[in-house]
Amino acid sequence: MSEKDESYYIDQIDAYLSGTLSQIDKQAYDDAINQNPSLRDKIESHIIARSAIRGAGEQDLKSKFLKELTTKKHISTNRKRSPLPYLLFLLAIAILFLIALQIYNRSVSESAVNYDPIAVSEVEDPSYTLLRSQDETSITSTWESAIQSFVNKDYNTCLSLLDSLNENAQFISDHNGKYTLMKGVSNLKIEEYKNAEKILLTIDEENPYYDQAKWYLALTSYYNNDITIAKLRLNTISQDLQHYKKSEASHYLKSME
Amino acid sequence: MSNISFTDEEIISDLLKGGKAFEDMSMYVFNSYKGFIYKVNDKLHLPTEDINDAYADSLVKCIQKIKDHTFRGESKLSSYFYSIFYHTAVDVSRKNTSNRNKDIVEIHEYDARERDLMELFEIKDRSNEVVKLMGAMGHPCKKILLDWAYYGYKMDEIANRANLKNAETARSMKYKCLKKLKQIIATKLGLNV
Repeated sequence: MSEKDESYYIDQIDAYLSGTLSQIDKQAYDDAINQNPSLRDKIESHIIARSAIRGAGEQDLKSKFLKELTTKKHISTNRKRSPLPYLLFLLAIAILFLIALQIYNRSVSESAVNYDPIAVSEVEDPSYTLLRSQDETSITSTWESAIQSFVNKDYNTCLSLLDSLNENAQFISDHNGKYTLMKGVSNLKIEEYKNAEKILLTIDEENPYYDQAKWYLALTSYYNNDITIAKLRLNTISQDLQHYKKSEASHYLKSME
Repeated sequence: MSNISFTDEEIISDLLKGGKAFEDMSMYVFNSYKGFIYKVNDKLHLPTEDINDAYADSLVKCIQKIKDHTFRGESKLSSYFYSIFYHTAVDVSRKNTSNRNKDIVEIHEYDARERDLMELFEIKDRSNEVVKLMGAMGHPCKKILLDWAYYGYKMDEIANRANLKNAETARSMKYKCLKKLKQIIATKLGLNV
C-alpha cells in the first residue's frame, strides 16, 4: 500500500474526528488492514496523536480562561453576600418612616388648621364656670349680667357692665383675675387689640389667671398682625412645661412657619 | 464582542467553524456564563481557585461536547453548560473533602468520536500513557499542531500565526510535527509506524 493510500485512510479519520464525516466505512478499513497490517498501528498512533493534541488544546484553552479569571479579577472567592437585600430592607424601612412622617405631618397640619387661633379663641373663651364667683351672695346682678353677656358673645355689653363695676374697688380686688381676663378677652373680640393687650398685661405672675392672660396676649398679637411678638409669646408658652396651652402653642408656631 | 448577544445556533456555528471564530466565540461564552460562578458557589462555597478551575474546565468540556456533536441543541446551551459546571464543581467539592491528602492523578479523557474510533479499531485504552505526550513537543510544533487539530485554523492562517512563509510551508511543518508526535507515541506504546 502506497503512502498516498495510507493518507487517504488517515484523512478519513481526521474528517470523522472533525465532524465533517459522519461515519467510517469499517469494511473498507478492514480490507485495507488485511492488505497492509502496519496500517492498523498507523491508524492507532494517529487517533492517539489527535487525542493528545486535543487534550493539549483543551489545556491551552483552559489556561486562557483561567488567565482571564485571575488577571482581570472577575471572580471573588466566595461571592460576598450581595448588599442588595439589606439595602432593600433599609429602603423599605426608610419609606415606611417617610410615610409615617408624612402622615404625622399631615395630621399636625390638619391639627394646625383645627387649631386656627380664631377658631380656638372662639371656643375657648373663659367659661362661665370659670368666671362666675364662688361666693353666690357677693355676686351682684351686674357681674352676673356681664358674664351672661360675655357667654352670649355680646362683648360690648359685657364691657359696659364691667366698666360699671369699676367703681367697686373691693369687688375688683376680690375678682381681679376673672374681671381683668374677661375685660381683656372682650376687647380682643371686638378687635380693640391695644386695649386688650394693655388690660391683659396687668395680670401679674402671681395671679392664678396669669397663664390664661399669656395665652390671650399671644392671640391678641396674632390678630393684630404682630406676628413677631405673637411668635415670641407662643414660643415662651411652648417652652413652659407647666403651661396648659403648651402643645397648642407649639402647633401654632409650626403653622405660622 | 461582549456587548453583542448571540443565539445558541450562532455560538455553535462559530465554534464548529474553527480558527478565529472559534477563539472569539469561546471567549464570548466564557464571559456570558461567568454569572454561573456566583450561582454555583453560593451553594458549594469552594475556594476561588477551585471554583475558577471548575468553571474553566466545564467550559472546555462544553465546547468539546459541541465540537464532537454530543450536544444536539435539545436544551438551551446555557442550561447544558450549567449542568456540566454544577456537576464538575460538586466533584471538586467531594474531592476536597474526601481526598484531601491524596495526590491527584491526571487522566486523559477521550472525546465521543475518539471513543467511537477506539471501539471500531479495538484500540486499547491507555489513558495514563497518553497524558502529557504533547509535552515532548517543542513550542513551534506544539503551536502548529494545536492550531491545526484543536483550534481549526486553516493552513494560511497557521502560516501567518507561526511566521511561516506560506500555507505550503505550514502544511509541511505540520506533517513533520505530527510524524514526530506519532513516533513518540509509537515508541511509548510499542507500535510499528
